[in-house]
Amino acid sequence: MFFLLDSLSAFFLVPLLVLSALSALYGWGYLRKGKGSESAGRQWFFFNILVAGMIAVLLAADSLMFLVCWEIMALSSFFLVVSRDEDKTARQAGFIYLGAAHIGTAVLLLMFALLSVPGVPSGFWNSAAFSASGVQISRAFLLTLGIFGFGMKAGFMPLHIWLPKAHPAAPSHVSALMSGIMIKTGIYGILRLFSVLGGGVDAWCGGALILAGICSGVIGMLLALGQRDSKRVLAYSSIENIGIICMGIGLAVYARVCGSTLVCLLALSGALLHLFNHAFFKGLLFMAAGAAAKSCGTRDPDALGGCAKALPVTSVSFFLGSAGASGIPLLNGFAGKFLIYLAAFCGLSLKGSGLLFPCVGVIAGLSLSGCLSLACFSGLSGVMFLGKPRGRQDVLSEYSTLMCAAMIAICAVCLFLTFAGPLFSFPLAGAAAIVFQSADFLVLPGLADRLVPLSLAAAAGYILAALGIVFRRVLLRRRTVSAVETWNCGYANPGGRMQYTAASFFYPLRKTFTFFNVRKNAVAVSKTAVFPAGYKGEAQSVPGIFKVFLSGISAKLEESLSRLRWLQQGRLHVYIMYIMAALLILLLWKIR
Amino acid sequence: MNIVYPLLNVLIALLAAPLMAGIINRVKAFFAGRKGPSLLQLYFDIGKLLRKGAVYSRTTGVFFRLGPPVGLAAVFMALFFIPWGAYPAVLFFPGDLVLFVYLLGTQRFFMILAALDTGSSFEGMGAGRDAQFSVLSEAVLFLCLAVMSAASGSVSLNGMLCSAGGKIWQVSPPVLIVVVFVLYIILLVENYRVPFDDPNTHLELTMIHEVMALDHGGADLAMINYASALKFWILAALPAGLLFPYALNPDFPGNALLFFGIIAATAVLTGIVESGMARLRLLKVPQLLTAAAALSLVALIFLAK
Repeated sequence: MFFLLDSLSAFFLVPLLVLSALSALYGWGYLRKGKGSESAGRQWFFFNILVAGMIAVLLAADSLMFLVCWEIMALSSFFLVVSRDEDKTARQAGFIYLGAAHIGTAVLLLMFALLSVPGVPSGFWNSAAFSASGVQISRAFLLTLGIFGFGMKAGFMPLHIWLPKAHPAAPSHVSALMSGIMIKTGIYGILRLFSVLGGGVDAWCGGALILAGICSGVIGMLLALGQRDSKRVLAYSSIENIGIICMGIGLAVYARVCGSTLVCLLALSGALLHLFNHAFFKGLLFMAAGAAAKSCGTRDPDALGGCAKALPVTSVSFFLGSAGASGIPLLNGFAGKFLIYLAAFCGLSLKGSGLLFPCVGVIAGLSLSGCLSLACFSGLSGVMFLGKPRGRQDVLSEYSTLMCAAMIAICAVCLFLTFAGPLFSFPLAGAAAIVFQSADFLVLPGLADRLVPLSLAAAAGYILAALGIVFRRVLLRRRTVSAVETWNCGYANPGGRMQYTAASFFYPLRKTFTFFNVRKNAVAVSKTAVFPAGYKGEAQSVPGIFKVFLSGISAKLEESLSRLRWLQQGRLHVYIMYIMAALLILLLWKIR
Repeated sequence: MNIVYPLLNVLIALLAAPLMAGIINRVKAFFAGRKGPSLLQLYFDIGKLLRKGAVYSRTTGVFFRLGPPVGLAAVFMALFFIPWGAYPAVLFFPGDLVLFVYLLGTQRFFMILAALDTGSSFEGMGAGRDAQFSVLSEAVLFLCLAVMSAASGSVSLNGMLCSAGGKIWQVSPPVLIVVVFVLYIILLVENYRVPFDDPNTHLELTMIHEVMALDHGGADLAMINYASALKFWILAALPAGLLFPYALNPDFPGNALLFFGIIAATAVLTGIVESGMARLRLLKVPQLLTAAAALSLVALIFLAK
């Protein structure tokens, strides 16, 4: 049996299938008129392979099948990342992505090797048969390997380096799919590993996941603030959302060890629900950012502005996505966060459960990253779409009707999900029961009861806001409503470039958290014989904290490893000799 | 429990909230040796604004017009989750405190968008600073709520402030005094009061809230002012709920009045604070908020002991 469908994989499959269908619709419009239309065939080929690969990853029932599909998914997305291979940054991004993906796979290979069962050559993956087979292995070691290998794909904070490069380089419908679903397969892997281990987990694992989640959530969002590329901001925000999901899973693991089933169910459901909702609002954001870039010709928010009137569908999509990413209760980004918060507060209120510090950590991490994302997305969407145009954008129009159709469909899905929270209670409990291999979660009541108030609150919010608008309209019915210039201290002709930019909007926040967010200015001057020919300036945000540690470590590593460089001769016969020597040593070792 | 009393309390809040701004201004006028505006000045202002027409900037679009009604709706909804002294909140469910804080965030989200919609760098500046301060203040508010949750064993505002009936004070009084103090700091920063923002400065580069409302007029400005008054009331009701003397007879008819008296006292205190100190330099604000966060963490550690 190669494939198996259960409630955990089904929970991941639903957003995958819906989002990939809508991404394909969007991609149809996105690729049709593009300049690189000769490569459209190649792109569709890899797009379809990627979708098939992801479906197969979620369904794979044995280790071998899983690894093969995992590799198909990684390679096809690599080819999509480098689809604009004439661009140097795209090639570089692809290379880093390929490297990161294979480091992750190498670690997973080791993990699956340890998971093997005598007599079953392809191993167990999608079932509890492994824990039933009675093979003794170190759970701590397996979990460490799993968190590292799958975390590489998910983009946990120190392992995230490929993500902010690969996502902006890929075409927007592919970034939507990669950010919405592909990185979640890492989360799926971790949850499936818990399930394969029979639901047995350790407290340290929960603590490590919470810590990784807080780092990803807070630092990911802080780094998003300094970016000058809308898609890169979205990529960092994906790291933040993975952090939120990771905090939820970590808290669930911790609560499981401490024996609080309710907290465990709430936290895990929150993480899964946020994952589901994030797939749609982040997909929507990537598509809207891509549509804006196609129409305006730039992804720099500081060069945009004022295009809400010319691009109604794109701007409304971006605003809805931003509202979701900010977690405001009027959209679908709130429900998942709410459940994780609720789990943490429930854990706090239980006296003597040992959950105090993990819960405080989760509350602090969630609130800080949540407020940062509200600040980031209100500022970003405002600068990109509101106010006056900053550059020359005289004749803007929506790039393609198909893209608009796809975005409208995802907007509708997001609005539906805002009210559909209670429908998720059964699938969430089912998935939780698979993850921890325990039927307790199925009989625990109350998940729907906790989500109903949110749907009602969202409905009340919409109704009250509509009432306010009607009230104002009634008031203004017989009065003069006039239009003037924005007040600019008496200056009558304010230009678009006098507006506040994203860089200036986020400056106070970046200043507050300088330690995590260093702005690096790089100027590259290309020289001809005597005179400089070209000049390119670039400002980048880099995490100060990583810069200090990582550059120090990598410098030391390079210095010590460079002593081995004589091994790498570059001559074929020397390499053949290495192979011979290796074989000889292996032979002698076997004969011994 | 009878639903009439909680609803009556919401009604009183809706009617009395603008009075607090009057009290603050009267206290400030007293300390400055002036006579000061009428206690009912904000009512007059709102009434006048509601009778006016509207002037909109040509740059603005839908979001400028959405900001005030959505902001008011969000604050109005938050009002229903606050218990009033001995009376429970109108609505409560497990985790309502999260919705409560996020409703305040919703108001901010739409106000920032409305400010950026004008295309004025003034408003952008105010919005950027608002975003900066809110990041810290909301995180601190969550930490305070965490302390209250751990102390009371409840996961709803109602359980923390009301139905525990003052038992929360038996856990650790020093911890709760710290929490009340931090909640008061949050009240000041979230309502843009001195030392974080000066509501008197109308056209200075340092202002935050006033500048975000600069291009609004008529009914829109009335909604913004009313929402601000409600927000002051709501955030004053959190420390007031903690300080409410539950030892009194729960059937005592003056309970509701007593609660509103505490909120009025908060307004008086705010007037005194504003008379007695200047606003902080903008660079110092994050430090003060971080100190508040540290205080609430210390409170949590005391509870864990």
